[in-house]
Amino acid sequence: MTLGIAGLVGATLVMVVLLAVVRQARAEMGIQLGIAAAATIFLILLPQIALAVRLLETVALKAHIELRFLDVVLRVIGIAYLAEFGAQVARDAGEGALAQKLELGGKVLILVLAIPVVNALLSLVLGLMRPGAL
Amino acid sequence: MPSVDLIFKIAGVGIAVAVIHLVLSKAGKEEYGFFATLAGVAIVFLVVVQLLSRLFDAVKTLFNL
Repeated sequence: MTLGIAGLVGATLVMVVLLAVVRQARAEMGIQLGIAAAATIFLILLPQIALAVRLLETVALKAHIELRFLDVVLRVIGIAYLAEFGAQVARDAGEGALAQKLELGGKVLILVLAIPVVNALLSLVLGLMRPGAL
Repeated sequence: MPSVDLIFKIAGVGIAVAVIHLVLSKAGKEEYGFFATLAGVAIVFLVVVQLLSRLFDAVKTLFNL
């Protein structure tokens, strides 16, 4: 099922109305409905996102960029998306403090993931600075 | 296949639970109303967890996590 932009907007508006009804009747059910709505929208968008990722991979292959660096970039995007997803759900439920902790966790994981890239860059720069390297 | 049906299902359960809670509390059975709410939340939680696991699997395979 691939929805166009009109379908996406329509589905979102329906979700908003349902959320407004359910939230004032049962607040805890409203949170769960919000999670389900966010997950549904992403799952609807998934095929298009996959196309964009394939495009990135083909461009990287043509530019002879090492595939492990592209892998790091993709992982960072994935972690950022998931952390943002969880943080937004927590913030919607009124737990702003917890949301910020989750965002901190996402940043730390991204930093850890970037360590090999930073190491590679540092060794490259140090290699250039060695006497007689040029 | 992702579908919007799940949203309608959850919203339906929510409205039904709200109505059941209202009827039970009007009939003076507050404690049964509480259990009805708990059961509704548990049922919806099962559905939401399945949907979330699908979402996380999709993100994992897409971004090589």
